[in-house]
Amino acid sequence: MIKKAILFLGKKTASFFYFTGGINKLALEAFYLTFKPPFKEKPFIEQCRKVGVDSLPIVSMVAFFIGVILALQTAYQMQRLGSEMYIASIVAVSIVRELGPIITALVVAGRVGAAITAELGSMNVTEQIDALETLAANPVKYLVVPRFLALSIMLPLLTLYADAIGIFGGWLICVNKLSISSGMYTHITFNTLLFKDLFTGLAKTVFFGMIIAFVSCYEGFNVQGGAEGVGRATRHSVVNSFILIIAFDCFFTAFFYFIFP
Amino acid sequence: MEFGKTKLEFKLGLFVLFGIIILTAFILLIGDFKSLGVRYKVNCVFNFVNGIKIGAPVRFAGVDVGEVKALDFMFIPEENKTKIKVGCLIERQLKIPADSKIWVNTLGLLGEKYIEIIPGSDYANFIPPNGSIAGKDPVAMEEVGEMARNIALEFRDTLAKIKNGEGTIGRLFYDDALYKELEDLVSDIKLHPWKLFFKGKEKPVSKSK
Repeated sequence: MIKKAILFLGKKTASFFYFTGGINKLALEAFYLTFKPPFKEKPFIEQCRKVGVDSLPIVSMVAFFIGVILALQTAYQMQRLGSEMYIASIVAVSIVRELGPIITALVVAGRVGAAITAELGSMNVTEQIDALETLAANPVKYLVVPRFLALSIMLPLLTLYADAIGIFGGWLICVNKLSISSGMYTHITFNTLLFKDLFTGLAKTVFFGMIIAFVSCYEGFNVQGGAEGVGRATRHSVVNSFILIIAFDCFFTAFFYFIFP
Repeated sequence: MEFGKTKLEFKLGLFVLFGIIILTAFILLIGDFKSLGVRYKVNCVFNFVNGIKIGAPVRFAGVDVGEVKALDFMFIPEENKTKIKVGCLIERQLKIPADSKIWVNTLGLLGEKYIEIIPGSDYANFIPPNGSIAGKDPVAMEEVGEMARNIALEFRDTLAKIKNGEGTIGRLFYDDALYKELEDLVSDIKLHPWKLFFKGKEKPVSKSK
């Protein structure tokens, strides 16, 4: 019984180390191959569309609702204190610094990351990746690099959309329901926001994009078994991306808090 | 390979363009409220600044007009003293008279510190950009406490003296002599009320008519 438990723990720890090591190896290889010719634009643009354009509706919708919710929840507290003026600044700062980046990253991880794992996983199961290798095409160069580049470039752009739409959601509630004038709202919003708020928020998303790309590609490459394996890998990919995104967000928040006080 | 032909590229271009527009709008809107180009610097020299911090607001006649951007030490050889130079960024269009009063004020008792400027009346001379002005030193909380303590101590001594019957008020409170005299006077007047109407011959009241 105890032996079993220790073996189980050891196995889990070992698999964690394998996971970290594998992700890092994949990341290093992808970084190296990004700057190595030949450069193919077509797959990159295709992935950009999948990550950016196609995710925009759902990201906008979620960001809008988050803005509305944040304004209402803040109003609930602020109206007791009689300081409705601060709703605008709270909404702006929390969306631009934190909620915009993380909501975008989570939505994209669920939407795009899962798709990448499923796609690469079924390619792996049907031995298309082995076929690529026999054609002397590096699967990392051919499959991972465009996805990694597309995710780390498109995620900040998507975050900008999410920030703007979230602030718009807060504006809609404050102007129509809480009788704060439109000019007042925009003035307080942009008076409170600092450049560092915007740029630390955007800098995080580049790393979130990398996390999504590497975790989902790693899980896709590691599929074992048939269709069942693809399903398991997809689940692992989403769960691991979520955990890593939130853990790294915690790290970055602490980092920026102490670096740019 | 051809570029810029497919619908896909059109959509992507639109997406990126709008993203860049949003970024520019954010930067311009944030920058508009904080643009450094439309401000000028005024140095306020203090002996004591009571813990003011960089970023603290500057108020001119009660309106926020700028913020503290720099805190430096400055040795003044004439006075043989190290002073604090507080660099404030003030909005360009604001003219501060040279005889304005400047000091470090506090919002509430323990609130945020800020620089208060009460405009003077000398509208012929303004503080030029990068000019200096001497600030009035704020009173440290310790000094206020010390002063209150001194007052309390002195008051306690006085009270002790009064209790011991020293001094005029002490004797008024604790010495019965005056009370007895008054009692005698009242009883005397009760007995001989006509004494009140008695006019002394030897003392003429006044020489006037």
